Amino acid sequence: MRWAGLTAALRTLASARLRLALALFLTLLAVASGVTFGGWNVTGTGSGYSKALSAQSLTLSDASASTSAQLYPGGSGDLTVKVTNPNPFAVTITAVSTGSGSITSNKGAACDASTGVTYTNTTGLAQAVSAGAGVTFSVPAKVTMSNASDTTCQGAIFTIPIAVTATS
Amino acid sequence: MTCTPRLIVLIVTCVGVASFTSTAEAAWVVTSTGSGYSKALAMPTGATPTLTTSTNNATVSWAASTIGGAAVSGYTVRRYDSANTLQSIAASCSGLVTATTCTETSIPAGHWKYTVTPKRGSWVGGESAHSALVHIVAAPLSVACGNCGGAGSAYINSSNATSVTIAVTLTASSETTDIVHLTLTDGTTTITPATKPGTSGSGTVTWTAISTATLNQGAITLTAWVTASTGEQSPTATHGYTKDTIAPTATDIQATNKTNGTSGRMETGDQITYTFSEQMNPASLLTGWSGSSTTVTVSVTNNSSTGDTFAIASANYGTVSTNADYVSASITWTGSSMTQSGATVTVTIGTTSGGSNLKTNSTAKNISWAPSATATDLAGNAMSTTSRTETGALDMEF
Repeated sequence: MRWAGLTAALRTLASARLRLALALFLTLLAVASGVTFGGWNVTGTGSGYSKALSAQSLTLSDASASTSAQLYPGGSGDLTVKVTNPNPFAVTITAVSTGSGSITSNKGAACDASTGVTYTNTTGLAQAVSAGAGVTFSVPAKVTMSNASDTTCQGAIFTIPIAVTATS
Repeated sequence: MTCTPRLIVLIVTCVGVASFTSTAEAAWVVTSTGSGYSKALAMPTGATPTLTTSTNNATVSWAASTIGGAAVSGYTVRRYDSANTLQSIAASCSGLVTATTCTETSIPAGHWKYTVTPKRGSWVGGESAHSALVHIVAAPLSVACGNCGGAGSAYINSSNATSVTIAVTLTASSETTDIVHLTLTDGTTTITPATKPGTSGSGTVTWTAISTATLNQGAITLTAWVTASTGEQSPTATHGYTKDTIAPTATDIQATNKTNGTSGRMETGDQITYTFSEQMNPASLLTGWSGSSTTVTVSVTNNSSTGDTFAIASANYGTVSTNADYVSASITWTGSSMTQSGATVTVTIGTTSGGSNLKTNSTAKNISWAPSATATDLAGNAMSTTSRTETGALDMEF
């Protein structure tokens, strides 16, 4: 009865062009709604419910094998990061900042006690990571080494605690 | 009511803008923690240094080292002996050397080699390979004339000038492959005797019968040094001597009356002055005398025929004849004093117990002096015995 009422109301519209405009409006509204929620949609089975996914943290893993020797006292080098995006949607890494904990090396206590290494927080990055994919990338020249670096640190690979910020 | 196409477009645009705005508001921001990685370079090994030497100094030079394209902060320079035992290094090459060369000075004698180790900050690079060995040769301990004479044996005189003996004393580091050099020079002319081999350890190398005939009178410098078989040269050892082969002569002799004394009469306080051609060795005039004022006894011997003579007991002035008559019998003057000043010796007459024998001369004469060859100058040259007559007009003396 309600559909019939609506049809009747439409029929009362003065112009066929107005009817066309309304039809287009409804169509675009439907399309736009689909775009807005399309990235989060999941498909459930067996029930009549639908629930949005929770965004998962990116996974940072050992990138030491991808580093190239650059640091020396008074010099700087790149930070190499290996990250995996477990989410079903692409993300963009926008910042890498200093994490908690000490910078350590693979050269033992003497070097760890005085690495001389510091990392400078970096923003404005645009490192894309595809959905479910991993990538290894470098933050250029943001790791510096002071003259305080112990001589045992020669050739060391430094593990630098960081925090990676990504947006979807 | 009518609905135009323009209205349709407006509605569609509004819907689109609204839709895309809601998309941006839905973006997620995820922060994840973990580790990033960075790797350090390793310091290079220093370049093998090269050496040049000058006497007991060694200049060490090496190629620059870099790390990551940057220069290193400096270098540690080390010196080893031939058995690879590390040595202390002198100031100019110690600590962090920021240049690529340094000169170690006053290096002890021996066979040495060097290494260079680059540094940057606290990082220490690899030590270079050893340089070639350098032989630092010790200077002779001394060079000395073995038969020079005169005061302090410091003179080449008429007795030794054509046959000088010179000894060069070498250190414990001396080697038989070393070459010992000697020169004698007056600053213009140089005598260079043939070289001699070094000794095995401490020892003395001696040259004999060196003639200095071609050298001028005056200061003579003996210089000795050693060169290694590989060419390195030691510092020099020197010693100064004086060449004086000229015999001293009597220049003048004068007797003077004391103030307000009686002319022609010997009195306490009267003086007689010997003048030589150069300063004499006082010990050759009077044994043990240094030239400063000393007490002597003056004797006057009566000689009525040729004139009384004047002498100083135990001294070697030769014979002094007054050529006049001052005493009727020989007397002595005790408590007389004698002093030397340069080339002159002045004797001041003391007191006598034979005053009754004194006479007052009334004949103007000049004194004559026949020197003794026992007296020598400072160089040890014997006095010429050529007589000298008092200069000036005849006078009464005393």
